[in-house]
Amino acid sequence: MRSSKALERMAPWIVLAAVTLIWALVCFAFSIPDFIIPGPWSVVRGLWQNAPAISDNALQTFWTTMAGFSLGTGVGVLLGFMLGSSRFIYYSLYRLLVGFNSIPKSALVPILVVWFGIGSVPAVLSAALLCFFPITVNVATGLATTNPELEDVLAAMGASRLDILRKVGIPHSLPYLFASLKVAITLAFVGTIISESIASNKGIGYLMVSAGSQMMMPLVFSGLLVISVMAMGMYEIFALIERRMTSWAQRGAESRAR
Amino acid sequence: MQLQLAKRQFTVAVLCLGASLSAVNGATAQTPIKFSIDWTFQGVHAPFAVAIQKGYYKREGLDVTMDRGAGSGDTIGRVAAGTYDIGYGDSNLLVKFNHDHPDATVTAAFMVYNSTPAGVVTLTKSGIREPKDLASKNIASPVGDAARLLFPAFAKTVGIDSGNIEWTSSQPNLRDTLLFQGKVDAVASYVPSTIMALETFGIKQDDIVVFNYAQYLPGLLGSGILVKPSMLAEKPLVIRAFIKGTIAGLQDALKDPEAAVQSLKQYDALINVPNEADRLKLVIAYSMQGAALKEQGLGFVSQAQLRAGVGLMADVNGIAPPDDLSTIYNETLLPPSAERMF
Amino acid sequence: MGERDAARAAVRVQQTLGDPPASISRRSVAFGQQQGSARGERTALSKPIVPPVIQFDHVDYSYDAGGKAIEDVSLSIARGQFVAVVGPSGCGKTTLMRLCSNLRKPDRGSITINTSSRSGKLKSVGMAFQNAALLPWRTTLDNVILPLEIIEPYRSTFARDKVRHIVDAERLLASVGLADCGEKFPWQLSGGMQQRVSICRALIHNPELLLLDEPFAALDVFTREDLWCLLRDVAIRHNFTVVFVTHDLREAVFLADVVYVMSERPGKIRMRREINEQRPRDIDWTYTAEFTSQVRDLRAYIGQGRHP
Repeated sequence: MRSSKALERMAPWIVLAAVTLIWALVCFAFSIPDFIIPGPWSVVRGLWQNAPAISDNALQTFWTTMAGFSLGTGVGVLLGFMLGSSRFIYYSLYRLLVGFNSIPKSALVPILVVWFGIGSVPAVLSAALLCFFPITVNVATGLATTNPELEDVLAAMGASRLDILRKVGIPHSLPYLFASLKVAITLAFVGTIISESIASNKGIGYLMVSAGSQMMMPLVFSGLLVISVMAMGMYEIFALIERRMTSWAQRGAESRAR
Repeated sequence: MQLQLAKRQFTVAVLCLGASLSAVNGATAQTPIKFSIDWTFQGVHAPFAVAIQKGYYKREGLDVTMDRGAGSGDTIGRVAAGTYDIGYGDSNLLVKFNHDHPDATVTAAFMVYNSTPAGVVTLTKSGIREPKDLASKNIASPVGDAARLLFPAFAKTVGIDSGNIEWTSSQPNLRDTLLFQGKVDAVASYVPSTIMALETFGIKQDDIVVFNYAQYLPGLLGSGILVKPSMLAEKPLVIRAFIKGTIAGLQDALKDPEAAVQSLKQYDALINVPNEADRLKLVIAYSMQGAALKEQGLGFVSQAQLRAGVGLMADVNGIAPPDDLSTIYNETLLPPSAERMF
Repeated sequence: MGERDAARAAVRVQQTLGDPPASISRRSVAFGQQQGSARGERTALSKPIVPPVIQFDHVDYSYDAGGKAIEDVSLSIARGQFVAVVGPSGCGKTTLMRLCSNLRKPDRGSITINTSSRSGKLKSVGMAFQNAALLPWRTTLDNVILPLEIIEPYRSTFARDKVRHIVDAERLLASVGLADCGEKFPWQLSGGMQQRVSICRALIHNPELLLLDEPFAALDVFTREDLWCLLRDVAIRHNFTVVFVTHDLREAVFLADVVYVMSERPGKIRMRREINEQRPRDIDWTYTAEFTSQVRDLRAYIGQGRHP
């Protein structure tokens, strides 16, 4: 029992090591040059040599993404709330939202630049625009799938719609919200990078384009690596918050995993 | 009587002093300028970085902030929309842009590099020795790339049928890799970038074959300072100040490319200084060698070249050239020739 | 006939509306004998002493264009009465309950609900369903005191009185045998325990009216009998008016003063039967012949309705 728990914890690291090994072997076996696919060693070396510059850009991307994510969450929750509690609003808005969400955000960035100039603002907006939709969908779903009997119990007591929303609707939607936050944070990173690669002087997105046009592929891959690590870290943080706040919804997962 | 005259002279003198003092004050009040280049920070942008770092713009009364761009076409758009006061980009693209947007035109006010080193690059192992050998070959180039756009004119001049070329559309950073891997016979590109990429791949200079368009298409214009005509009319002194600062930076860069590229590091700490210095030197080698240029100074473009260049771009785009060439390149604000020597 | 028999005879009286079982007097024995009727129909002579808590007058209701759920339902529920509604599946029992709680308005006819509240909403209602419907993110205690966060006058003084409410809730839980379960979450309790919590929640705010929709349907026989006794005692002790929907005839006969039998959809009241055994009734009574015959009568009647 104890050994299988230890194995569970070691498993992701083992997989990571295996993937890295395969990556190195493939590069070696096919003699792939550095400027096409750099091997893990040259990526790490590039990371080490350029650590201050990379961390500078990484911080820029990180804070921009956090800002965009906060904005996207606020908008997403608000919209989800509106869509989930009013049929009228749902029917009038949801098709528009789906259509809007399908627009590639890289097409929107130049428009944002005209209004806000290049730099952090288009990046924050780009991150927010990309990540709000899954949050909206999940919050609306959570509100719409509340047990009608629960609502009847409260309604019979004379609870107003607002009461019901506060006591039943919102707590019920929390697991859905947290699930969507995990997805949304990764999307927010994507949004920031898209904007930075077109319209920013700083950030990992800029780094990847600049390094790419100088044919410094190991540096491009370092940028990718840094993004992945940041996104994974944030994902884990939200997964932790989710477990804490909605443990009542999680118990099924635990027992299944056993 | 004499006292009154003296008083009057004194008053006039004081007034003149006051006027000149206020004029001086006006000049030293820093005008903020938002300036956009055409791509990420590279060696060719060193003159601007030098001018900012060494205070050449400041002494002209300008506080310049420089932002990267996303392609010359985008930069022209930014200037036209007013998002940026001044831009730097390929002035060849102005012909079509101004034709398509007659209400929002953009004009070049100073030609930084005298020509655009666009061309076709291939490797000796492809067996292509002269432009004629390019007939019916497979060439890689991004859609909308200037080199690809100009190819038909180049083909006509060298006597091949551009219709028979098999184009491989690709992103700029992949294009040179395709050439290296032998997946295409040649690439149409901004030559210095391709040469540097190939050298990164380990290919020696001797194995690279270059057909520089400037050799075959004499009119080809270069990249320059881009402004809106309204700014030319309303703030000529500001533009002239910017030009003067740029000239100073450019003079430094031409003298010592390595030192100039160092200034770029404050914008992008990851810049590889030797590489970018090489890039800058290549651009200088391809674009700044004309005898007339050395004679007349930086920014000089002969009317003949201007007419030929504008006519060339109108031709390849299938439009009529503008009647007034100064809508493309307006030289009225250039400082005297003596100040533009290098 | 001994004294005990006489007393029992006195008890087997057609109860007039409104007299709680605890206060039966000789006077009402005579009165009741006047009204006696074998089939247990309501007589015109009985005069209500207090107005009925709920009165339906020729009520129709349909959910959609598919047809009426209930049709021409008229009934009267007195204060303190324990009323059971039985019938085949889909006969509209739950609809009836929804109308009682004022969650819906009738399409035709009128429903009068006599309550102390002006808005007409019966605020002092406790409801429990077949599905316990506890909020899974709250502890058992928090689930029980939920109504106090919503209903006035408890709501406005909630923060101040919270400690007292918790004590009351603990007491309620203890009375149903869940003394140590206050901090547990619903998913840690069995079905029967959850149902008991649900009933506590229905009682915490001292409602005038209890509406129970097949609350014990999903439980096993032993738990069910325990909960019958619990409900029986609670109803007596607090003199609740109870509307109890069930498909279990034994349950209805054991618990109720009056049993309404509904027909298949569209539900109509087919019969009103008074159960003459005095409440509280012992579980042992359910094993007597008398009990069984009453159940059999109801069963036969429903059977008739199902296969005309």
